[in-house]
Amino acid sequence: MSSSTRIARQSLAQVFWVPALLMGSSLGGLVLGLTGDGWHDHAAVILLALPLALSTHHWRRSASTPRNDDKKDRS
Amino acid sequence: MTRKTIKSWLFIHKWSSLVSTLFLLMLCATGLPLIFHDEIEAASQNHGSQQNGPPSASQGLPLDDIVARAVRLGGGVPLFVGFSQDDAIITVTTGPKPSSPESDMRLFSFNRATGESVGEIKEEGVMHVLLELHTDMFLGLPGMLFLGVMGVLFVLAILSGLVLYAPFMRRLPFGTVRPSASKHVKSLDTHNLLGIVTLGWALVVGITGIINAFADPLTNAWRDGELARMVSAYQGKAPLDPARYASIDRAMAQAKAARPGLSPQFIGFPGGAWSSAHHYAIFFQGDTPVTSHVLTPALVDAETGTLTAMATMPALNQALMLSKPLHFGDYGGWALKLIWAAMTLATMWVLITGLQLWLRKNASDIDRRVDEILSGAKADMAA
Repeated sequence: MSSSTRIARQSLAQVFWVPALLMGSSLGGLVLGLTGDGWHDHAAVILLALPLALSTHHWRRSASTPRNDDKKDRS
Repeated sequence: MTRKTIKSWLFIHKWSSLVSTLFLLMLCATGLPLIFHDEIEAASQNHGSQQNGPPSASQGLPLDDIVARAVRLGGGVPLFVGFSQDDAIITVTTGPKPSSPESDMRLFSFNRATGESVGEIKEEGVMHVLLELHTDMFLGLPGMLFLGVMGVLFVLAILSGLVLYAPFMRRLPFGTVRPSASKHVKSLDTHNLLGIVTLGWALVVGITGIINAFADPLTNAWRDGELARMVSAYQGKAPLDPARYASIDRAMAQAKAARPGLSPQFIGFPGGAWSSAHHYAIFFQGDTPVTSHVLTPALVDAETGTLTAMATMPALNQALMLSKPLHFGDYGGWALKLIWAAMTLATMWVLITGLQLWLRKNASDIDRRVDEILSGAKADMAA
């Protein structure tokens, strides 16, 4: 898969749209939690969990692909 | 981005992180248990039914009665009274004299509904050590300011890392952790992935940490500036003798009459860091979720019990108060605390992989590292 990971050169917008979304989600969650209890807190947790869930997803994807030189499982 | 630009950003990223990494790892390691300090303290102290009753901020025995009990136990004079919005626990801080330093203070807690003593709260134990390490490394104000500077470096490292993320990811889809690559490339990919997903949280916790590091100077500036102006009529008067303190309950009633509906959070007694030499400073919290973090002090003449002034605190001090929950993560229940813990662990992993990348051989070969970034770190680049 290593050779297929590389793609055509992306624009800055293509590089940053997911990070920008995650940053907005985190900041939105942090502020929303401050503005109230109940559903505010639940929404805050979901928004803040999104970046964590996404990174776990990418980790698992890489861990499930065979490797040639790394025997340690760090996931 | 030219090679030269990348080189400059790499230089900033490398040195801002290298200087601060060990301190940041210490802050993460001590901060992790501190997220759960309420739960840990509740489990270890186990007040049981001793805290049952209406919130001490709204009702219970007269404050004069509770304060007299604390002074009987601790001697000296009262310095602070702290209220709870959730249970009947009320705390009273005493010290030998009105301007006693923190090291001479004693803290007693009571049930305001029954007047029963819940015991003296001693600043000792593991949690206290962790908090001191996290706040100032037992070095007082210089330690706090030093950690504040480490926070500034942390923010600089995050921002320079963000700049370098662009050329590196030009040819890689988001979230790439190349599985068949060497350990080094895996560290790099992990560093980038975890760094970018924790970006928002880490920036907020970093910036609010910096603001918190300047808490003492900010409070002093408020006391010597805004507060001094509010009580300017008292300038030149000798500090009030504690023997002449008027009823605290009367003072509270006066303040509450001026702004009904607000709930008191704590009272600073005359001569302390949070008041003038002649006033009870009663700090009210707002009645909405956001304003509950922002305090409004009412200054009541401690001799006559009449209200002198009441005003919200300056914007900088309000920012300081709002930055506390955003740094501690203690405002959204259990689930938010777990997120805080996960984000802290992820940040530690970013720091560790960053160290690994620096420690590898030929790390000083800056041209090679620029190549690595410019080429989107070619998939099969050797370690």
